[in-house]
Amino acid sequence: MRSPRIPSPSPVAIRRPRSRSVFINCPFDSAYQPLLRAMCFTIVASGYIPRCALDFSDSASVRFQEIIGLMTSCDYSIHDVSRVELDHDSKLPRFNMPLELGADLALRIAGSRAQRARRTLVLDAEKHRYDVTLSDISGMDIEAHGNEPGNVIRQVRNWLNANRGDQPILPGATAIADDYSAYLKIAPDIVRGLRLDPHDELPHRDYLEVVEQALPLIEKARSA
Amino acid sequence: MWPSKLLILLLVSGSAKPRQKAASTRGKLIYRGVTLQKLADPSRFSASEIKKAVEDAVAKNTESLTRRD
Repeated sequence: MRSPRIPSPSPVAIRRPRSRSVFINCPFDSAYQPLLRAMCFTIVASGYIPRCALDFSDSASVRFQEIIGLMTSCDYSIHDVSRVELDHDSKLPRFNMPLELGADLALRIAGSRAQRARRTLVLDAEKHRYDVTLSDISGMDIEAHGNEPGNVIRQVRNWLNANRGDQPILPGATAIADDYSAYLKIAPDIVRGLRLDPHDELPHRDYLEVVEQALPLIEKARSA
Repeated sequence: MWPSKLLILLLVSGSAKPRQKAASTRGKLIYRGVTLQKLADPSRFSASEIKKAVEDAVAKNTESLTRRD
């Protein structure tokens, strides 16, 4: 394998439009990766920029202060609270996702005017499970994805579309899901073309860049 | 007399009108009518390297991409 260019690690210094940035709070392990990838694909396809702890490091071991900085630089945020089971090794639950959701809600309630206008989508695996695990958030925009990437695509697309004001309507969820399936078909060849490791190991930033370049070409090829 | 004043008024108001600047899409990627945002975070590869890898992959899979399963 070749050794590619080393990127300059300055994610905070780069300015992105806040109104186009979507903060993602979710697990970063391999079990969740298919959902995260589908989510990022949808966000990029909808003309927004996915932001998450992986912007800092691929291990996502990031300080809470940095997470808050990232969150406040995004007008939109998605929180997946589906990971409620006990950790396999420690036999303890993980509280990072609910903690970050709580910080987001605090910004919405008591933050500056810009932060109070935040748009938040909460995802869980099962319908109404949050009534038991996190009953304080009842009444918010909460969707169940059943751990299916196709559901994540539909929910994220529909939520972004519903929060666009008078901007043009987004491509439909079915079209995005079909293009995502098409992307998955060609992904191994893209990765081979870059002389990289298998697609599942494609680092987050490389994945986003590949998706951005692939979307117009996939659309063109599929409409031919 | 008044028509010339009216003409001047129209010309002045016309020139004072703020020009609506069309959003430039030059160099931007468009997908299904959506202008994609520049992600800005540097990838380990240049845009041209990624573009070539994607183009080659699309070309190699044209048949399966156009087929409606």
